[in-house]
Amino acid sequence: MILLLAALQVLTLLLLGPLFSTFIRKVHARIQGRQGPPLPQGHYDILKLLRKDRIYSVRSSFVTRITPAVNFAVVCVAALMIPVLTTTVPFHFAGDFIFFIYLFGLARFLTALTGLDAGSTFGGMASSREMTLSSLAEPAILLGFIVVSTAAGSMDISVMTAQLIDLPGKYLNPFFILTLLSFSIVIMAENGRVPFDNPATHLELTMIHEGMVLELSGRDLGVFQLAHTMRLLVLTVVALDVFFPFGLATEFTAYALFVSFGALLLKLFIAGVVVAYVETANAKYRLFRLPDLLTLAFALSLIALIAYYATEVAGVR
Amino acid sequence: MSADILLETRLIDLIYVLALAAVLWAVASSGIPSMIRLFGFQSFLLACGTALIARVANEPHLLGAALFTIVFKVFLIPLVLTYVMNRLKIRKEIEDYINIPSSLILCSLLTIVAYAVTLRVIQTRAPFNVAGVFAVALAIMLIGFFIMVNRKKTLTQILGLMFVENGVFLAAVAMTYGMPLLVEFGIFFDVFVATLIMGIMLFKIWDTLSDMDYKENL
Amino acid sequence: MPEGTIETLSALFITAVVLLATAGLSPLFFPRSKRLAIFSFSLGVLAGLTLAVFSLGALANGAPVKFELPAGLFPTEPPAFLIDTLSAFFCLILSILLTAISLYSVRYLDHYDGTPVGVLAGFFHLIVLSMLIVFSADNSYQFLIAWELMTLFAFFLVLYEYRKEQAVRAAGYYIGVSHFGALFLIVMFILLQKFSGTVLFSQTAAQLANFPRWSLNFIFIAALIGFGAKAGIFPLHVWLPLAHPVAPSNVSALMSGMLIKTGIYGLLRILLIVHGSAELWWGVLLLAIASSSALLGVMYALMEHDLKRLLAYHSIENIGIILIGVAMALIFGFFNMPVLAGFALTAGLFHTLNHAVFKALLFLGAGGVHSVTHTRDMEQLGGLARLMPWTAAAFLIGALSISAIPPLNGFVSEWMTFVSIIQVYRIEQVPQALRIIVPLAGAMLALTGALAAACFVKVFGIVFLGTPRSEKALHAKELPVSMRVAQWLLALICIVTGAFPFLVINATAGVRIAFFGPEALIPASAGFLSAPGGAGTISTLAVFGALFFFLTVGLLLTRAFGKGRTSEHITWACGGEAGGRHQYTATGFSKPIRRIFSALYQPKKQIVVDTGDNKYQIRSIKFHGMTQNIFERYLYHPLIDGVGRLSQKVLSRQEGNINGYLAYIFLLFILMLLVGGSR
Repeated sequence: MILLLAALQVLTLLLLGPLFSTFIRKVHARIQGRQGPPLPQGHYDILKLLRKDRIYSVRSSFVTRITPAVNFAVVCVAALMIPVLTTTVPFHFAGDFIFFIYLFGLARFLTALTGLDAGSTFGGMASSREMTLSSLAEPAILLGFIVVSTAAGSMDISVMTAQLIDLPGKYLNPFFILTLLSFSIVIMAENGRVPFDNPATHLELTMIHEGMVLELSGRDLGVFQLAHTMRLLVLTVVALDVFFPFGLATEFTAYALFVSFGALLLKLFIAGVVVAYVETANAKYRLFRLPDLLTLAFALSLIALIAYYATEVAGVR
Repeated sequence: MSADILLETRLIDLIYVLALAAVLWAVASSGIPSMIRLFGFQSFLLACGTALIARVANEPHLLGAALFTIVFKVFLIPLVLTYVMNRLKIRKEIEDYINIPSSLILCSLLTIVAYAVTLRVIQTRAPFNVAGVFAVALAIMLIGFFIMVNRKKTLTQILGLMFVENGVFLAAVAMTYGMPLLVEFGIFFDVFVATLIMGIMLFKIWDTLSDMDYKENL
Repeated sequence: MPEGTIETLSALFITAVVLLATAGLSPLFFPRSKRLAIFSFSLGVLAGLTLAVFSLGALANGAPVKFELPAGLFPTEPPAFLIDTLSAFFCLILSILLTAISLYSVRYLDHYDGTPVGVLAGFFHLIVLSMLIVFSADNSYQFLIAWELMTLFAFFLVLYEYRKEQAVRAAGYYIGVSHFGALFLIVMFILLQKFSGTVLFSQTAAQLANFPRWSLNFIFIAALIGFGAKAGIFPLHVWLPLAHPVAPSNVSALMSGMLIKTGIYGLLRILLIVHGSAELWWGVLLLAIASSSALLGVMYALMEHDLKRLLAYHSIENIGIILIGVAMALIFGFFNMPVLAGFALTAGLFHTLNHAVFKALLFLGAGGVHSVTHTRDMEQLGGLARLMPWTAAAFLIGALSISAIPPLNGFVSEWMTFVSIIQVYRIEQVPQALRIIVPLAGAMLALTGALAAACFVKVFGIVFLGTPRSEKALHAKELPVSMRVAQWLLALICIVTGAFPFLVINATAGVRIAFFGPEALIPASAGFLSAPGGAGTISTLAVFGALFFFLTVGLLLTRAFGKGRTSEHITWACGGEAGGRHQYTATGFSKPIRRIFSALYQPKKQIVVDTGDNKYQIRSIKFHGMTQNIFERYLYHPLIDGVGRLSQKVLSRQEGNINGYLAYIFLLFILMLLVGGSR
């Protein structure tokens, strides 16, 4: 049963990943008055890349050759650790939220190394920026999760979600809101959306994420793109599950799954529109403004954590 | 998160934490117009919170205080400051001694200090979260002071002072349900006049120094 | 347990001691003989294996192994050896490091041809022997003597390249801080003996009721300072980044891997005795110091481009992380929560093991790089992964482990530390101080972990990836087999302890129980590790398996299927020649972080433009960037100057007159009579 759920989750996210990214691009385009790409474009692009030739730099080492596969593996395992359609998580015995967040660290570490692998300047620049921003973003998201998990009494993501489903007053909880704010900032940063990084830029000097994978081509790039789009989806889904968990199936019946899938699509639709709107409304910040924003997210998380412990936790209320 | 907390209490908590977030966002900003807007937004939040406290604690005179807050701090003072800013054609970039990320971390530490101090001082919780609101008030005061110390442009320092005043007002509301209405009105009027005077002084200094380089520091 | 286990174990222990003594003393008689040095290191490997078997046996046995030397040989109490689970665990770590580093050293000595390598080999093993005695000592005199010998031998090895001014300065700092700490340790031991009437650790705990309150607090502070100086906690850490880089790399590996852990051992040994009467502020103080050490260590590491100094700063960071676990254990112990306290303590112990293993791995790698390129400066390296693939891969595993990347061992211990911090809310009435400090420590730990990853991306990327940045890196070649095997041995331990954390959890069960009683259990089975109270479970094994599965899928997709062809070409550099100098530098890599935390770093820069005769043609531009160590400037230098001035004044009193000295001795004698006679 668990195995079936696991397979279902991974496949769902695998398919929805490129779709979600393309959807955001499409809404972005529509807001700007353009038509935008057709929805399956993301899938087409990946399939196209899988058929292309590829070139490696003579300087690159085994790191470049394994990074796309590792990214893919990490995202698939992460997909098993979060609730997608049901509140039960296939890998709930294997990982809690700390594991989840740190697991992405593995992907990030190797991707940043790929940037340095070819010995090009732009790759190094991108790696440096990526590691700097993540050194602020990762703690921010971790602290936010700590607040939520302390409130829910468990570090297991499925238990957190199940608890939060029955807690209507949570939306007015100030720490909840602060955490949500800081989460949103971090998710935008981690996935390289405007204002942190322009996913559509051609200028290497402005790249962060794209810069690290400049030297990837062909199948490597295809698999990497797939992993990257899945990653945006996984992080969005976990945020939606923690903050807006209604609609998740609590039992394993066909009807509940159907409703849950519909709810998921609806939530993703809204999230996609919001992300596209934020992207359109802002220009990409110059690099040294980004730490300001991320430090703000970190500060908000930190304050939420301390304020929560100071005023709410055991023995006071 | 026990479910039996009154809706209003929760709302009050939320509003004040957002006010804290607003002042932090102001520290993170480097443009004077956005800081003024954040000040206005924060004052608006404070006014709503005061109105809610008026309801929860049954102190109708606080509604008057809320009204004054809106009139003075959400409209009049930002108007004055914007006028000064436009007249002086102050550039929108702000210089500071400690850069923004470091100052954000410092402000988080200041907030933690505020919470630490509050925990030692306040124990009661009814009828709304006095400790939490007081901690936020103290934090806003500290962060306002920090803005005054850290930034070089006078207009930003005035804004810092305004934030401090907001914090003081909030503390007063939290601890003693504000003060008698007349006193409140007096305070608001004083603050408004102070802003006007500071604005006028800035003009005068500007005119006097118009040939020198010092006006960059204004 | 079969009869005669204790005898077997004792025999193993004594064998190890004898082997180490031989390995230590014999090369000292013929210091220039390389053969003897190699023989000594081979004995070291043997000793390591023996010790490993011993430690595993002692851990499995449960009951402590003890024996005493005959009383007649010694003027005071005879040395007593007691190896309980705490000692056995540290002996195990020591044995792993001894085996790996000795194996590595056999060929590493080639790098030091022409120098008296016998000294290197001899003192190396003597340090290990003294550490072994420190771990197994029950008698506080014995402990102190071994402690001082350990420091002394290490001091000699720090001075091994004594012609370099750096080394002399480092050794000076090292011995200075060590003795400063030792002073406190001596006073502490005196107090312990005074109130308990015995010098034996095993019997002191029973006398705890006789200790007045002030003495217990003082003992804790003295232990913190004395053992902390050895461990390298902030603010007693200054000697670490000076001493570890200048020593030969195998010595650095031993120092960072094991020597600083003796500080942890000492602290735990004393805490085992006194923790029953611990106060809350002990844990809070330790937590504050530990989290500051961790954060500051990693932040200064980020700014380094000397490979070994960077690793030394990371040692400071990891000692901080270990002590966070110990501090949380103290706090939970104070509130009588044995399960959580045991968990936190295990987090600290696990991290001790992990850090020893991956730090040694990293230093051995760094040493290997140094031996083939003759430089420690990262700005001159690059592209070594293609020239030394095995070393690079092992180093990568070490880098991933130290950055707490799952599913390796570093992640497991850091996870446990986080869990300990988060679970503070389970205390019934959380006092105010804890409400602020514990979450703050958690935030600092989170920040530390992320920054450590950033730092090691820089290290691995700049040193091993890309293309060589200078002539020196071009001549690198892969290391000899024994050196590679040593590194991979450690790397494999990282992987195995990561996948099967229950091995370490079960090994440390005795320590938990000794501290917190039989309820201090951790549910850990073959695949899983659970947080106390059912708060969460992890299974690194499952994740390993899942990753492996999906990795295979991914690799199939990228390497096996598909029609595209693969080719190689040079890196595009906008049409020009892309030399090594076109790549990112280490300094450049950490610049954004330097900017963000400029309040701490106070960076200064200097740009020198060389234009030669023609003002419009620039010949070269030199960028010189510097971060200041504010602790050195505002804390240490004034302190050292003050001490210097004080000693000048005292010096001026030395007239060389015999009568003067006699007068001093006379005065002291009178004083002793007055004080001693009053009892």
